[in-house]
Order: sequence, then structure tokens, then C-alpha cells
Amino acid sequence: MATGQTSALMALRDPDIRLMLRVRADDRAAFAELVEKYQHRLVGIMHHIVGKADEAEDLAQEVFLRVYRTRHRYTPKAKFATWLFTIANNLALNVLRDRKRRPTQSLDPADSSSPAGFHAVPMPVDRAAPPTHHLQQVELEGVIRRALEDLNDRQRLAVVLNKFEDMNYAEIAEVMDLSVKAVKSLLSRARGKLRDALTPYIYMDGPPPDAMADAPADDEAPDPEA
Amino acid sequence: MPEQKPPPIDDRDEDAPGDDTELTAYLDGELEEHSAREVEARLARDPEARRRADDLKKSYDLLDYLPKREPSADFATRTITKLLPALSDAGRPQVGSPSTTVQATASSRPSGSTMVLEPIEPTRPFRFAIFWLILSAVCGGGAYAAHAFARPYLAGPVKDRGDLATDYRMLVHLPWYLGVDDLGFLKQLDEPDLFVPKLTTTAAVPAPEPNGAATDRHIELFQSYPPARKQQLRKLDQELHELPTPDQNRLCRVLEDYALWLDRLSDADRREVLIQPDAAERLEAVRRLRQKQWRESLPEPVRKKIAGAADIEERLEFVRQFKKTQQGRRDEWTLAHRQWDTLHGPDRKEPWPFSDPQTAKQLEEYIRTVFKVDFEVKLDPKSDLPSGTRLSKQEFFELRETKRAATNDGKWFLYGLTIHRLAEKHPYLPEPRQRPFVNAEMIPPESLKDLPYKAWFGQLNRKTLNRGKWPEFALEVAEAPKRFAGVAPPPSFFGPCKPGDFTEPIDRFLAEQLLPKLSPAEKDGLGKLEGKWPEYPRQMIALSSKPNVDLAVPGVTLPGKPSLWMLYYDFVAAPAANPPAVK
Repeated sequence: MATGQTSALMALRDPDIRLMLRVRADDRAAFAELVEKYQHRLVGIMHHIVGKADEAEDLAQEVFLRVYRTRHRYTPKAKFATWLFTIANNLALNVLRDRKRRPTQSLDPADSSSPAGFHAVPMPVDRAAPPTHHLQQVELEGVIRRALEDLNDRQRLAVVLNKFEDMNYAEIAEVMDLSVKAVKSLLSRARGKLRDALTPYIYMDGPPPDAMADAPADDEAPDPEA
Repeated sequence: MPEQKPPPIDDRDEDAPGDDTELTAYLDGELEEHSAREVEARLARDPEARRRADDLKKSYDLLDYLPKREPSADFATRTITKLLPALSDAGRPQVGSPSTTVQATASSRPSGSTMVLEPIEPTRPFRFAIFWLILSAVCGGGAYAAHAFARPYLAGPVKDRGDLATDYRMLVHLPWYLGVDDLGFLKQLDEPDLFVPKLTTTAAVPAPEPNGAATDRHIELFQSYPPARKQQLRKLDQELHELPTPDQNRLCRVLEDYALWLDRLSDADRREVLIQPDAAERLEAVRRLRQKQWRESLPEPVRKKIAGAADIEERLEFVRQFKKTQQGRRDEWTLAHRQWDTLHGPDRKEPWPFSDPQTAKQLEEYIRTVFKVDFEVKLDPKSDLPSGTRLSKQEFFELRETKRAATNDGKWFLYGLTIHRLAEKHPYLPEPRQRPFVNAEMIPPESLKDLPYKAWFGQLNRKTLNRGKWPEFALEVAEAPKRFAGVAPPPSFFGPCKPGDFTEPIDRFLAEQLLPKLSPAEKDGLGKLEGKWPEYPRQMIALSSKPNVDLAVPGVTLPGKPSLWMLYYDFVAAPAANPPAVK
């Protein structure tokens, strides 16, 4: 019974696997516990991915629904969270792809998750023109959210898993069904794009370092180790 | 897993920076040691690389500014209850791919005992209930409501239409029914530790006022239920409304209290109730939560005392005692509300009937002659009770304790309440002029000629617990022996059952007070019972307490107007008049 032994070993290491094995055995209370435990992470992640609160909840609910429907086929082979986020990843990518096929425009111009809302925030194009310090926190949020939205779907997923779920490249690779090398390159491009979009806002919450204020030239940037 | 594979990776990312891959991986701690050392060397010699690394790191850190979205408070419950149908149709193939807009609402399995959710149009039952209750409290009903209700029925084909009038009443009550399966479950909720209605509220519960929008949503919700659940709700509503009015009022209170309680629970607790697989386990979950809430509501010293009990027995005893005290206080408070004006008027007095010296004196007499309890006389050493009392030991102790609390601490309400309860429990009948019939030896010797009759009396004498008690013994003899009907003594042998047979005060009461107040029909009805015992005296007592008569039968019923006893001390029936408002 190799599978049984593997299950047992995995379950010993990961209490969530133990929980999921109870769900597999139709333990309703275990399922409730699972939802209770993962709802915050899943809704948070989905919100970062799709940008809308109600849609994020619907998606998170759908993930739990899929977990429940397929519980009898669950075999523990990775960290439980990895398995859960694989389902979330597939669902999110499908939804985002469908959304592109049937684009919708928000009617609410104040909806910061919509392109219309984003473009209301002025965006300096040149790092030599430091961002206005009057930009409010909420506007900064809009800028960051927009930068995240401007990534392509896979880049955004990888960033969200890396940043908000603290997943390493191998875990992301497993969730997204990619090689570690592909994840490395995906994240590098994503981070490059984020850097391009956000560098003008880096020093918003404090005075810019002397090197940048005095000489906006390239070579005198502060040493990251300093 | 029926996952749809995402589209293949699109590696043609625009404006890829190219050579920052290693730098990013270095910042993420993902490089092998030798690669990491290479990056470090590069950073050391190249200020541009340092700046790029710094920007990469800091721009990434900016993502921390994004607020984390928390799930709404009822997310877990909605999710779990939504998934419950999967339990019953796990083997059924899902139709179509699951949509992200699947919604659910409460419904029930055909078995009728399980609350499950069906994937249907958007409804959030408990949010909805709150919404509905608030709206219905604020808005009025009227023509719009009627129109709104009728619209879906008039507008197009509606499945499972049912009876409009019956469904309307059921829809009005729908928020109350959401957490209930059937009348049996509801009745079980009506117990002291769960949702026993507050004693101040014996009147009918006003039906919730419907309004257009809420009614529309109710119809929508109801239409979304599977036929079995619809039928179950109709049945619940019908059975509830077929009950006698007092029971119906009471259960409506229970329903309302339960629905509101469920609504106010934390999401996790509410889920705990709803996910139970059947009514019995749900009831158990409700009980657990009520107990938990009760424990948490206790004052600190009481909690400490209970926690410090030596063993489980002692702990249970503490809890029992504390609950009893609490119940006493609640009763007292309820009763105090009813006589608020008397108690807080310029000349503060004891509550009725103790405030009226004559009635109070008659009441003492009543306790002595009807309960057969004389507090002045020593107790029978054998039974530890006043000899010949009609009360049980526990009842006697309760009466004695409440009397003591009344005279020492002014707790007259509880004393009045106890007297009223005991009088209801042990109704009395007018005594005959001669010694009342309380044992078989009193049977006239000529009647004993009949052998089976004699044998039966001998048996009765040995067995009956009521030997020596009036009217219990006579009632037991007169009402039990159907097979001895032919040989039993005539009814008048057991007790007085026509005018002229009673003791002088009762005969006078009958002739001078009761009969003149009766309607011809009532008088006629009573006349037809002449010669029948115990029917005649019982009917006489019943007529005396009717609102148009409202008299005490001397030495038989509690002194003072029966309507006042009902008004001040009765918890079950609706008071004859509205109790004075609390100021």
C-alpha cells in the first residue's frame, strides 16, 4: 500500500492534508474548518487577480466547490495549499481568458479596478519629474493596482503567488504547471514591468535619497547594500 | 478533476528586460550558491546594476500598499451551505461547467429533516431575513404589496403555483420558517433552555407586515425551492395555523425568537446549526449554543462558583439552583409589570390580592380549607406534611417557602403565582353537607350486597393514593369504573349536584349571585346537568369564571375576581385585558 504510506507520511507533515483527508471521508465539519481556514487567503488572492471584491468571493467559493466535488479523487502528493492554489490558478486563468473574450466596461468611473478609474490618476512619465507628494494613499493604491493589472495574466498570477502567498519558484511552477526556469523568466519580466511602472512612486513616502534629488543621473544611485 | 486546462503559456512577453532574470532570482533568494556569488560580484562593481536591483526590490515592496481584501462576514456560511447539495447528489453529473455566479439558498431535502442549499438564483437567506425583517418593520403593506405579490402569478407561467391565499400567509412568515423543518422541530424548540416565550408576551404575535420589494424577494426565494421543500413549508404553515389560538401564539413567539437568534449568531455559530444533517442533531447544536451563551452570560462570581464545584454532580446542582433563582426573578419581574401602578402609586402596597385585606383573609382560609394546609399546625411526623393535605410534598414546600419569602422579603408575586398555579392544578369541588366521600368504608352497607362491587371497592381502597382526599377520591371512583356503572351508587352519592344539595353558602351563591347573571341558554345548559356529578358543580364553576359573571365560588375557587387572577397571575392564556403599561 504505497499510496497509503505516502498519504500517511504527507499527512504527518501537513495538518491541512490531514484535514483534507477528513473532507475526503465526507466529514462535513472538516470541510467547514477548511473553508474557515483558507477563506481569507483565497479571497485575498482572488481579489488581487481579478480586482473586484464580489467576483473574488464568487471565485473563491467556486474553488471550494471544486474541492468539495472532487474530494473523493483527492490524493495527497504535495503541500495542501499548493493543490488548492492549483485549482484556484486554473479557475482564475479561465475566467480571465473568458473576460477578455467578452470584455465588459464598468459603468462606475470611480471603480479603481476599471481602466476608466485608473486613468483618472495622473501618471508621471519621467522619473526626472518626481511624483507629486499630494498624491494620496488611495491614488497610490490605484497606481499599484493598475501596474499589477497591466501585467499579463500569468505574470500577475506568478507575482501574486510569490508576493502574497510567499511561494517559492518551485511551488509556483507546480501550481502553474510550468518549469522552474519558465517561472524564473516569467517573474523576471513581471518584476521588470512593475519596476518600470512603479519606480516613480518608490520614494513617495519619504524624501528621495540625495543621489536622486541632486543628480538625476544614472550612476550615483545608492548602493543597495548601504 | 474536471478542470479545464488553461491556455498554453504565452512566452512572447512584451518589453522583456532580458538580463535582469538572474538579478530578480537573486533578490528572491532563488539562486544556487555559485550563481548568487556571481551576481554579488556584479553588484559590487556595477553601480547601474545596484540601482536596478534597488528599484526592483523597492517597486516590488510597493505591492505591500495594496490592502488585503477580507471575505465578507458570512462568506464561510454561504460557501458551506451552498455546497451541501453536493452531499445528496455527489454521484450526479454536474450539468455544464460551474459558473462563477452560482448562488444558493436554503431549502430542504425531500426527507424533510435536512437543511441543504440548492444552486439557484441569488439569495442569501440570512442576510435576506435581516433585510426582510428590517424592511417589513419600516414599511407598510397594502395595495402595493398585494400587487407585488400577485404580479409573478399574473405575469407569466409560474410553476407550482399552489393556493394563493395559503401561500400568501406562508410567504409572510417565510423569514421565520427558514431555519425550521417541521412543526415537530418547532415544538421541540419550545422549552425553558431554548426559546420558551417571554412571559410578558402572552398576546398574539402580530404577523409581519409585508411590503412590495420584500414580498417580491420572498416569492423569488420560495419559487426557487424544490417542490418537496415548498410542500414542507406549506405543511408547516398550515399545521401551525390549525393549532388552537394560544398554542399558535406561543409557537409564533418561539419561531420569531428562534429566527432572530439565528440571525444574530456569529457566522460560525449559525453555520454550526445549519450544517447538521438532521433535525435531531440541529436541535442538539442549538442546545449547545444556547448553553454556551447562557454560561457566558453568567456573572463572574457565579461562573467561578460553578467552575469550582467539587464534581459534576455539584456543578449540575449549582446550575439547577441558579436557573431556578433566575426563573423566579424573571417571573417576579413579569408579574411586577402587570401591577406596576399599584406598586409604584403614592401609597405603595402589596400586589393584589394581598393588598385587599378581605381577599387576603379569604385567601388564607382558602389555603387552609381547600389545599388543606395549615401552617400553624405541626406536621404529620410520618409524612412530614400537614395531615390530610391535597398537595404533594414538593408543592407544600414550595408554598411554604414562597409564603416565607413573601412575609419576610416582600416577594408577594411569587407567593400569588404559586397559589394560582396550585389552585389550577388541584381544582376543588363543593363539599356535600355531610362528610364528603373519601374512602370506601363510607359506602352504604346495603350497596355492598353486590359482590363484584364490594370486591372492587376493597381493591380501590388498597390501591388508591387519593384515599381520604376530597374530591379526588370521589372523582376517581365516579369516573374510573365504567364496568361497574350498573352497580355504582347514584351520582348524588358522590357529591352535591343540584340546587339545594349544596352547603348553605354555595346554595345561596347559586341562587342569589350566579343564576341571576346567567343568560337563558347558560341557565338552561346548567339545568340539564342537574343530578350529574361531577358535571353539574364543574359547570357551575366554569360559568362563574366567565367574563359576564366573574365571581369566586365561596370556599371552592380562589377568592377575588377570576379575571384578576388571570390578569395578574396567568401565564398561559391571554390576559383578559391589557396589563398596565410600564412607565
